[in-house]
Amino acid sequence: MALWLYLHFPQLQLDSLYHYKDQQQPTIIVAGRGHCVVQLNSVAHEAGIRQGMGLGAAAATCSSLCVHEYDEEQTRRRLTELAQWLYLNTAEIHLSGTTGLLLKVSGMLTMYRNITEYWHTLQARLQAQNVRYHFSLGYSPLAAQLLAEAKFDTLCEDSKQLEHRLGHLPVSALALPEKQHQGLMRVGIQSAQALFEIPMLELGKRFNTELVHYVGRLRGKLHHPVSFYQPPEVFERQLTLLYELENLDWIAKPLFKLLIQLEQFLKLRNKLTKSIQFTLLQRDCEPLKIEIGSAEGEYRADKWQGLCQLVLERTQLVAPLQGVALSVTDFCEPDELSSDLFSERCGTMTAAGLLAVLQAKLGEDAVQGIKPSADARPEFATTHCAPLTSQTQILSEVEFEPILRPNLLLPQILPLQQPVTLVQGPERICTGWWDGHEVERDYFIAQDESKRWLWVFRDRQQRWYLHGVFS
Amino acid sequence: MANLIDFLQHQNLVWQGTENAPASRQVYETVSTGFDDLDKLLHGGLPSQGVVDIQSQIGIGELRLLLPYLRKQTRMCAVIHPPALINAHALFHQGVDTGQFLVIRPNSPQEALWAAEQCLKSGACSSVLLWHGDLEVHQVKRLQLAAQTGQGLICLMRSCITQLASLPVSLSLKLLPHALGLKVQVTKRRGGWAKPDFVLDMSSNWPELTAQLKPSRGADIVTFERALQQANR
Repeated sequence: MALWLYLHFPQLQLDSLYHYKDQQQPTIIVAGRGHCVVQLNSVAHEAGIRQGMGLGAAAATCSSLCVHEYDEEQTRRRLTELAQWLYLNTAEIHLSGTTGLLLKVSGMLTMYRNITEYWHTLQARLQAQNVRYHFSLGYSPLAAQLLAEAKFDTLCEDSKQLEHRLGHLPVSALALPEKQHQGLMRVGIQSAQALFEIPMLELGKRFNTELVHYVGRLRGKLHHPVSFYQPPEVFERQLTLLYELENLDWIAKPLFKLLIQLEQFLKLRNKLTKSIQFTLLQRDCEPLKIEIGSAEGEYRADKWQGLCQLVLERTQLVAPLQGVALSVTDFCEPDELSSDLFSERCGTMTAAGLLAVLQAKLGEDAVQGIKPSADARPEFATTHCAPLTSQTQILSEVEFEPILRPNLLLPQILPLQQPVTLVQGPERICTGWWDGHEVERDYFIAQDESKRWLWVFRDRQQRWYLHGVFS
Repeated sequence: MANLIDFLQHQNLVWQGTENAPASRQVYETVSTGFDDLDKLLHGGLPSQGVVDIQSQIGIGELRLLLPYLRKQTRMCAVIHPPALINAHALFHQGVDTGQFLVIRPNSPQEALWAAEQCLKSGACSSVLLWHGDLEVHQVKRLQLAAQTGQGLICLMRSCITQLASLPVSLSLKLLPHALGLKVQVTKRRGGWAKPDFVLDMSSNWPELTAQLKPSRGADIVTFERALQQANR
């Protein structure tokens, strides 16, 4: 029979709140219509709050209480994160509901020397995540789950002892419908042991087949199909801040925490990323999404931190900050080093790295590359493109005869206002009738009184304009 | 062991991989400007790294002075805060690789200086063109250090300057318009004496942009074959 390990996380949401270690506040998490306390930390417990209390009673017990609402979606997300984290040590993990993970141990024991060593590895992993959990082994998925939820917390693989322990559980601990449960109580079956003692055939006669199936699966006699977790190749983390932040300078620390997690994630997979997305969750406002790019793949947390700081300098908050999320969806492989081994490296960055820094500080639009395009209209003959993307284009003299154009073009065509002397021309450009930007101009090279070389043109109505400067 | 290597190195018997690019050991290396006369005047040309101050009004040919130099560069060229749009079409027809150009439009003079320093320091840019007004001595020193780190050259393109104090630059040129091209005044050159004014003849490179007396265009006689060629193009 296969051996299973069940990990039960009773207070996932509470554990994922961002805490300063030294100053803990009584914190509770409430759920449902009655706002019952479902999760509470040790400080709250000391103050006298118990599980199942109403919000009113809890607030009356303790004045400085920090209350959060139960968020099933967040809990589920956190559980998936944990599954992903444990996936590095265990191949087969099943997500059980919102609070538990089921690990198939028997397959992994060929890799680890014994169950103790395997468990120590898992424990060390869980330690890093800072979550509370209960665990148990079992020879069927359901048995392991029941024992873990009953806080068995012992690494025992003896089937007799496990069976014995399971038998001691009351019938109410079994995941049975209420009607079924009452039926069992009426005939005097109080514990699981009493249920197990009834032969399966009898059980089928007296109760319905669902109970037979349940007991069969619990005792490992019937097959219990489980679907195993497949890790996605995305990185998504969210951090809820315990205090609202009004100054973006203070976000550096929590942010770095997320970036460190990203670094570990990428390092273990030997991957890099070129862009990360931050979401700043603001009070009563739309979350602010920030995308930070690096033209060069990068995994190190301190490099990303540097880029983030440059971007955050330009960012303004509308409302106080309540949380921050980091997500990365695109990954790339580290590229091979292609530089010369012997030539002395000069400078501190590659071209792509420089670009990332410039774009982070000045904005994407402020840094651009240029390339010529085949258009006779001067204002369309230069197009702006993403830097470092345009291909090398060198004029081959066989094909073209170079034409003279000014090195600087005015962003807007201006009416000519100073007296000029025409030196050369005209060159007629008359085109563009097909796309709505029709031009009909006679261009001249002219010189003004301070001997500057200008590129001026005359339109059909004999009006004169200044278009460029021969710098 | 260390002594032995020292000894062998002294005798020039050890080949070092980095010898091909002895960048950290050079004193004052120059690169050609592409104009032979100007190279002679500047004893070799522009410094290969450092700060060059070019004082000129816009539109008399200050960029054309640098084009032959830029044409030969293999690393990137950053253009920071140009007074108008850089025309890639014009550069293309003058044989400059526009793929190497990085046009940066900062929002403030401080950002412009920051961008220039980053570009120089990175080593990814061999040349930086910065249009800027007045500069402080410490700012120029910072740029100089950045240029040494990345082995790049920065040209400060300055017009309408009010300050008179001399800046710690490697080379300072003042350009004035002239009928044949440009009148160049070398106001400062590191390790050299002041030179008399010099007229740079650009008429062979850009005949259309030098004020020469030419016969009127109407009298041009075009052979029949050439006219056909032009018509077919």
